[in-house]
Amino acid sequence: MENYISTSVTRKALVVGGGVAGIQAALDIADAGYEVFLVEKSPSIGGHMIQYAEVFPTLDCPQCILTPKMVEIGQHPNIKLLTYSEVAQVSGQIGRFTVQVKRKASYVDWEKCTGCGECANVCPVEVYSEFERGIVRQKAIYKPFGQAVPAVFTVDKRGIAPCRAACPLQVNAQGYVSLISQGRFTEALNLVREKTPFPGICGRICTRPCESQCTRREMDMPLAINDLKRFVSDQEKEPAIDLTIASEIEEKVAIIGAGPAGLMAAYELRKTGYQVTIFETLPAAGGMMWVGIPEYRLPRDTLQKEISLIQKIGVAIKFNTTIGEQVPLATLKDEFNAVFIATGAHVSVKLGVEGENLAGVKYGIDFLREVNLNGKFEVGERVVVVGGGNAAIDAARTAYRLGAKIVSIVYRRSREEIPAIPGEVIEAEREGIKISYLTDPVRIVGENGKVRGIECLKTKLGPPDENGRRRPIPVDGSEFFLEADMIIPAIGQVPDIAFLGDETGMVLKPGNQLEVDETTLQTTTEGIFAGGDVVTGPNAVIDALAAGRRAAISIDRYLRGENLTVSREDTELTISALKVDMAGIHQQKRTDMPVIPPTRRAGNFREVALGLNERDAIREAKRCLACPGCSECRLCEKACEPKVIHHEMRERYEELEVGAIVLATGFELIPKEAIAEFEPDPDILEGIQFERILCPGGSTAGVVERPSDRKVPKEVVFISCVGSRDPEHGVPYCSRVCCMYLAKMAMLYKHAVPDGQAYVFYMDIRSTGKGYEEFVQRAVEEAGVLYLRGRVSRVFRDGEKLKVSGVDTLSGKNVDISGDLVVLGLAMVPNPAGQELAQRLGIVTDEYGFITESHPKMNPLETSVPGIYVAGTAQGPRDIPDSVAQASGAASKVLALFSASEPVPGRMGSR
Amino acid sequence: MRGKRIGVFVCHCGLNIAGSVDVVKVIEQISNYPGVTHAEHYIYMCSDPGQEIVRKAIREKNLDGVVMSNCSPSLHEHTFRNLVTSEGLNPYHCEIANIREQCSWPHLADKETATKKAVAITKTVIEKVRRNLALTPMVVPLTKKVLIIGAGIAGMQAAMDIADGGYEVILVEKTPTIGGHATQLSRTFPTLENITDLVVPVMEKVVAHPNIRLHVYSEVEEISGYVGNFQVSLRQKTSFVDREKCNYCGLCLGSCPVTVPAEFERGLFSRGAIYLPFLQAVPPRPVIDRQSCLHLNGGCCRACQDVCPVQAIDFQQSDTIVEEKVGAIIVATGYELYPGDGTDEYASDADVIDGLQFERLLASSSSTNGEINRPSDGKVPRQVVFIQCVGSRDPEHGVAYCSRVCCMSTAKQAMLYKKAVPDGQAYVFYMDIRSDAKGYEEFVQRVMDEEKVLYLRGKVSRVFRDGEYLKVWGVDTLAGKDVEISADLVVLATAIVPNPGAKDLARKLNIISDSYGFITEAHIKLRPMETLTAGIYLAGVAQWPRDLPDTISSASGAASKILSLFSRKELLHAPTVAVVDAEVCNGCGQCVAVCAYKAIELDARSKVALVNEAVCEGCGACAVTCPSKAVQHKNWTPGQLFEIINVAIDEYV
Repeated sequence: MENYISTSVTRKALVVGGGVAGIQAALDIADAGYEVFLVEKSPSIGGHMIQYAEVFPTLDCPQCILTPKMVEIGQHPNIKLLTYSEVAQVSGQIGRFTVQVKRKASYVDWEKCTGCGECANVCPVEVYSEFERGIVRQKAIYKPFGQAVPAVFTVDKRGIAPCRAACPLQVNAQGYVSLISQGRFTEALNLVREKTPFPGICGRICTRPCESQCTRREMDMPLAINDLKRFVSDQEKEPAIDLTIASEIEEKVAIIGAGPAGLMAAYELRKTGYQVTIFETLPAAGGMMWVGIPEYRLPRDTLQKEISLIQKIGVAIKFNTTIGEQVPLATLKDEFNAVFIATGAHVSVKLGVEGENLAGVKYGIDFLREVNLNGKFEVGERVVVVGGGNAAIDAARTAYRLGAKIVSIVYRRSREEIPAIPGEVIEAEREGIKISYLTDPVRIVGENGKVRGIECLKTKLGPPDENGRRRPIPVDGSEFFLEADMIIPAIGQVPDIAFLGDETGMVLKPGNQLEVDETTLQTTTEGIFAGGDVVTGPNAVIDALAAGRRAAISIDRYLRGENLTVSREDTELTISALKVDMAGIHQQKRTDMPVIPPTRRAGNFREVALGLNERDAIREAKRCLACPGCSECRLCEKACEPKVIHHEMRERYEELEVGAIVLATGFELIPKEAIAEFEPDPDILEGIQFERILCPGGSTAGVVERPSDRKVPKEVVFISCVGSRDPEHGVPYCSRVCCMYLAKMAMLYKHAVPDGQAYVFYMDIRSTGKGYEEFVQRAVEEAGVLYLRGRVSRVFRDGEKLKVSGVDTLSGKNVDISGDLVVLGLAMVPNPAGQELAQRLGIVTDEYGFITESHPKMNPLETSVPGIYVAGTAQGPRDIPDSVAQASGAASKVLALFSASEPVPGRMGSR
Repeated sequence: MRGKRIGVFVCHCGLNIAGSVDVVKVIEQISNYPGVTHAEHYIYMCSDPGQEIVRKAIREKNLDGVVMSNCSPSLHEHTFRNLVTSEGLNPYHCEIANIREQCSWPHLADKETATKKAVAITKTVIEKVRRNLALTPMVVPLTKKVLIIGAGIAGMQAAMDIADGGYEVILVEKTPTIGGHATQLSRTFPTLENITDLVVPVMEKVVAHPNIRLHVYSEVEEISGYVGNFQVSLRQKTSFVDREKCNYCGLCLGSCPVTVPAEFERGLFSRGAIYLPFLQAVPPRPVIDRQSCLHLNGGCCRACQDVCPVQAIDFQQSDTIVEEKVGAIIVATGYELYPGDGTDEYASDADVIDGLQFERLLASSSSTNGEINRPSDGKVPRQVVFIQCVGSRDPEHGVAYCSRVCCMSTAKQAMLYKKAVPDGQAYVFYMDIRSDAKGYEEFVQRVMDEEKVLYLRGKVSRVFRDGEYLKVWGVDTLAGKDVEISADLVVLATAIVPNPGAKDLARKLNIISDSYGFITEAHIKLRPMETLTAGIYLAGVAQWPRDLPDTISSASGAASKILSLFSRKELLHAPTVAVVDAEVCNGCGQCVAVCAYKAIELDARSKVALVNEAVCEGCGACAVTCPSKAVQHKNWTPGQLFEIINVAIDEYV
């Protein structure tokens, strides 16, 4: 039962949807003197109509006839235009609705934006354009089209790029890649430097977590992000980095270890203003970057140049000083306000097999340290390296360079599991290093106290262990012997904790790792922090750098007496897959860096990877899909004269009080992927895409070119009823307008390409409006468009042509046409957002999602909810005049409601 | 005269203009033209940044004249005049130089010619602006009352919407009852509801609405005036029944000895000379048909007068003229069926009927226990052939356009026939099946699949009587074969044409109708409910064939135009009208004769032409006709025109 209450009417209306129907309804209500809120989800009003080339049957240009109405909306004193907004919630009843409107963040202060477009000129990111339907791409900061109302810019920001989120340092990979794509190398490098002072180092030895998350991998191969970073760092001779100190601070910080974690923490703390001293056992800074990584991967001058910045910024490094030996930890605690332990993991893990003490057994990390510090080492002729990590590969390739004749690696799992960087493994193999997978050493065999070889077992992989890697299981009786005069075990390192001395406050985990708070990196002793390998065990440089920065933030807060844990901006970003519209994107090979030929690598430590050249770098950078839209490179901010771009803007909610609502949420086309007869092909277009190509104001200025090769199509096949009248593959209903717009496009095509031929496959020609029948006749008689009554069974690519197989039901014959371009008259479906809104408002919709009118014949404008009216294609497919008529009709319902002087009966409750 | 400081603003309109006009060159050539203080170009002058350019220039360069070289004034004259007004200028100091429709578009391939012409056009408009006077729109009163012509579904819906909006409605209907053709139909498609159940409640609401005044059996005699102030004379046709006295008892209906074919029944059934169109007619008052009444044609029959208990029958009654003053008018005159159903292909035969006749058969089947009886012999037809596009899509024998509703009404009729005669067979000859609205496609599928109605794609070449049967000769274009069917009944989906009176009415209203008689809208896409005459609107099939929901939408749409109009306190009328110099006028009256708007009259006393500025549309016909140039058009004076012509000639000589 319904209860009725009286209620007074709020004489303001909400119109949802800024297409032609919404525009008309809003204008009619506003013209009658009532306030109207017009909510549109995209940045500009205009709807689909403004995308069309021309409208049938008069071939008027929609930009010309609709813009005056759009401008009127923008200037109407009674209309408040809320674009880039969505209706979130509605409560109340007829005469008194309360509406929550979500104002999406445009990242631009629209009140002040002058629409000058300087931001878009500098924006390096190109993304899918909803307005152009993928025919051309648009900048990530954009005005949808020339005549947009309001004429302001919006930043297309759909999240954080997975590459950026995957980076432990949160380096804005998408940002610098997009800058590189525009040849803006200095800006790109500056962007990297916002997060790390070591672009040259990272650009060479990073383990590239960014690339493993690159969206492009779903299509072909991930971008060579790291190579691009190296490319920009290669562009400068001396690091042009801003080393200004924020302001000197008295407090002193001691850092133990000049490895990546220690250096990074030192850099960050010093930049903030702290007095920083690093204590380092070795005679040089860099830690594992210096003593672990071979020079052919990381040239010493690169390392030196970037590490020297730490000293340049005013960090004191005390070399050859071992804490716990020369200086007790307690002294540091007394003399410094905070301590950061970043001693790394430099102690080799033993194999635990017989013969490890034989001469000729040299542990990988010790071997690399000696080579890196002294530049030489006497290697054997036959070297066997045990292990599959980066240290193992580095040791093997170093041994090869030092003159070993035969170098091999034994690894107990398969190639799938090998933890070393894949590129390194490939290069090792190219250098002739043999890797024996599924091989486990059993004992080292000696003769006269010297290594003679190593006995191994074959393994097979069992179920995954606690780390998720498949456990190797020895295969009985598979023993074999490898001859060798040098064995390099490189199966892992653990931290050396001698520095602790008699310090007992700190807790250790198994493997000599220090126990710290995950967020703050504070140890169990207050004021002492630790990070890097000493906490995690051997790990990538990028992780150590991240730990250094994290510690620096904690130490800064600690010294300022602030809370260490709240709102840390260095906390990990969530990697979320972003859906990218691939329209107009083609497969393209990843650009490989050139390398020194393997034959010229023995006997020297020259850098193997040679870096990208400018052309290749730009080409590679252009492969970026810009999956989250804006890359936050912030070039626009700098270019914006009135300073109206705010990348930190958040969405907000506005509450409106209205008496009536008109839903004019419009339509979408059924996705062409849903229709199986058509293989995806750049030259198979949906109608609106072809409208954009035909449009004189479009990207091709009305020159008809097909997308694949920009050739002028000489034969164009138009297919009606794609998805419509086809309950099996699409929808059973007729979309009402396709017959006419295909006829129109065929005619426009013929105007543009007079010697071209247009074909239209149709089921029934439906030209019922004023002047429509005559228009189709003109298309047939004057433009010579060939109408074929029948369905198309298949469209497929055949070299340069698209083969269209169909049937002509009038002649009863099969028809095959070799077309250059195929245009589909796709079914109209309700706009998904509108459909969703209707459901949220509790409005009855039909099985396809179109809003059901309260009576199909007599009340075509009312919905099932009193006070909510419907206009345009939200109710069902229809053409522009019918939409306009219906919109005015809906407006009259609102006006009648508002003019009632007596309270109206309202339905109780809310929805 | 102090020279104006004129700003010229050239729009690229994307490539619409800049594609064929070298806008930079135009600026170069205009910059040093006398009086031009500022010249600038921009990609879209109508956009916000474009408008800002104009504002800034007006302010900084102290402009008092603005020439916008862009698209047609019909698009953006309003925009830019508003703009200059907001900067303190009189709107009539801003003019549009149309360098798109009149220049870049016709000279697409010839940049040189287009550029030269753009310069010439712009210069002529500069000359016009230089001599333009500041004008102020006239304020005209607004009568907030509407006249709706036609009380079918469209007229009734518009009437209710406006009346609900609080304004008075005068609803005029030429037949004795409101309701229109919808009352003749049996059921709706696709939901098969009884139309009477839907329409009669609307008719009752209309008659009961306090804001609606009904004039049935009335026609518009004469209309004068202009938006906000129309004078209407309505001819109330005599019904010979005193509307005050008649108590709707209906005794008279059975008394009449005359039988003539009933219009409502499309001639399938008959009525008396005094009749009620149908049982639920509103108002339910009988009328006497002057043509067939025995008494009125010299006879002595007074049967009806004799039985009338209230002496309501008045044979002396004559037509009355009612005068009304209204502010706006809606034309909702609806349709008729194409009268050519007797064309060569189709035999004139009692069993060849049109769609509305079949609707009446279907409707009457409810009184014959669902039986459908064919007109010739009352037999139940076993084979029925429906022929579509009779007269439609046939420029040679009928009209070129599609009547939009026949596909669906035929499908519905076929279905209802099959429901009434389950063992009968229905055939439909069609050209294209047009079932393009909600539930329509599915409905046609049901007719084919469930009711086994045989659809044949092809035309019928001949229908002729062959004994008890009608032979239908046609072709099935899908099978490529000739088809011959022996039918009991043939139903023609005859074309929809405008109400025959619409053309004449359009003339009276000074609105345009197309060659078929459908009223022409102001803009086919964006102003479908407006005519080009201010204050006169359109609803329903008077504009174009459409179905019930589309008719209702357009009627409500027309209503919203009126509600918007009436929400204003008063109306403004463009001041660009004709003005008479009484000193020069010699009273020849030629201007009065050429004025299409009846805006000029000769003052009886002074014999000088007087312009009713509120009616004058500024067309200029009087100004060119006046032999003594006493009538001039404001801001289009001969001085301006000659200067414009001089400049244009200079550019090309």
